[in-house]
Amino acid sequence: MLNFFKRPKAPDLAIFEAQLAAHERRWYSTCLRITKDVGLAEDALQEAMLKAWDKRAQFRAEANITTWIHQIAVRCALDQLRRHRNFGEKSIPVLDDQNEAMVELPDACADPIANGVNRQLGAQLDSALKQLSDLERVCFVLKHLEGYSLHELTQQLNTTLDSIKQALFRATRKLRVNLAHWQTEP
Amino acid sequence: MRPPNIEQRKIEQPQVSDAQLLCYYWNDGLSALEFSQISSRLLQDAALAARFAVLQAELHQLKQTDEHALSSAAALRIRRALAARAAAPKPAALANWRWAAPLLAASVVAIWFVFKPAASLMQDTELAGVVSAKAADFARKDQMLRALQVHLSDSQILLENFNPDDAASTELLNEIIAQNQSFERRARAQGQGDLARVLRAMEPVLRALSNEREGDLRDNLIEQFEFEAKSLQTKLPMRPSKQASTQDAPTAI
Repeated sequence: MLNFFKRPKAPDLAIFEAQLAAHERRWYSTCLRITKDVGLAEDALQEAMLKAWDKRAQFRAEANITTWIHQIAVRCALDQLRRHRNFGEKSIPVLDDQNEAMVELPDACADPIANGVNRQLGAQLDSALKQLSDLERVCFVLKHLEGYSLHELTQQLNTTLDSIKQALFRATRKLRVNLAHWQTEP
Repeated sequence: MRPPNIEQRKIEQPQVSDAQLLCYYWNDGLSALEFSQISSRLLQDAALAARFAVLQAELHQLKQTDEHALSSAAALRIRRALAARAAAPKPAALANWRWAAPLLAASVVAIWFVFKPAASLMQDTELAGVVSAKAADFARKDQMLRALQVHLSDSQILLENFNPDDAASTELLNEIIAQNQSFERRARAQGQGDLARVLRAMEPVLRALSNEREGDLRDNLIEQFEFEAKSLQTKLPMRPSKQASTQDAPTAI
């Protein structure tokens, strides 16, 4: 009857250290894209590791510990952003024209980009992400790069679906414009 | 020749907006009907298909972000903090839920007081004739009490570590609530009304805590829980089990 009380053994310190060594770049990069600040991202990752350690007894063996810590890191990064930038209180401007067409761009499929160029694009994208508002950037990072659903975004960011959609559309439009500018450069 | 007016331009524009195409790309935020309509349009409208292909390609490119290296100083700081936390006797996060430990311990004591009057009946000479018949019943109750103590102990561990934002944590709390209901049903079936009432009183608090994220509201909930727990503690020891007094002991105690 009380089988569910028999919990699997919680991950130990060696597992946590191995996870950190293997995935710290990815977790830190996600925190950095969300917070746009090196110090906040470092604090978020540290807070995430400590929180994960404190809650290790709740970790289920059948789950993926990397994904579990990654999700905690995302939440910690959002918390850091809220604490330091009043992220939650930021109003969302209304689109001037919701049916506004996106900028026409050359067909990127026609000319596949080499790896070296991709790295330059990655740096350019990181720079472009910094030019978005906090809400636009967080929505885009969580939706497009982290694969969250719109419903999950409304819960994580505590805002409406329409606000999330508008922020995503604005972010994508701005990034595409920036990308077009980058592509036209020699 | 005059340029087309605004109305004419609107008619010439494709009906599927970029916003809808974005949702279509993510397969999220569209109804099944909208998704199906856009799929059909993409097959029939070459211009729309071309727009979507460009969008797809660009969104794919927008995933090519760089990974950033954590500075060695920050990496070292995080490792030291983790090692220090691991060496600490108890995680600091447990401090927020320390209030639950004495309350749950008090609940165990209160439940024991429920059984005490019934146990004392066994020593009453007037009930000597029914002792053998009741022995099996008390054994069952004793067994259930021990299981219940394990249940409360595990509930205590959960509350100490509970995080309402963590799905695994919430799922475990739901299991605890289900177990609580199971014990409550068994208590009722065994005619232990007061015990069933104690367990019933615990359930809404557990359930509310699972949904509560706001600090102020949670504090209010904790205050409410403390009030209910205190009132239970004051009532239970003073009032013998109704079943014990009406069924087990026909004569007044």
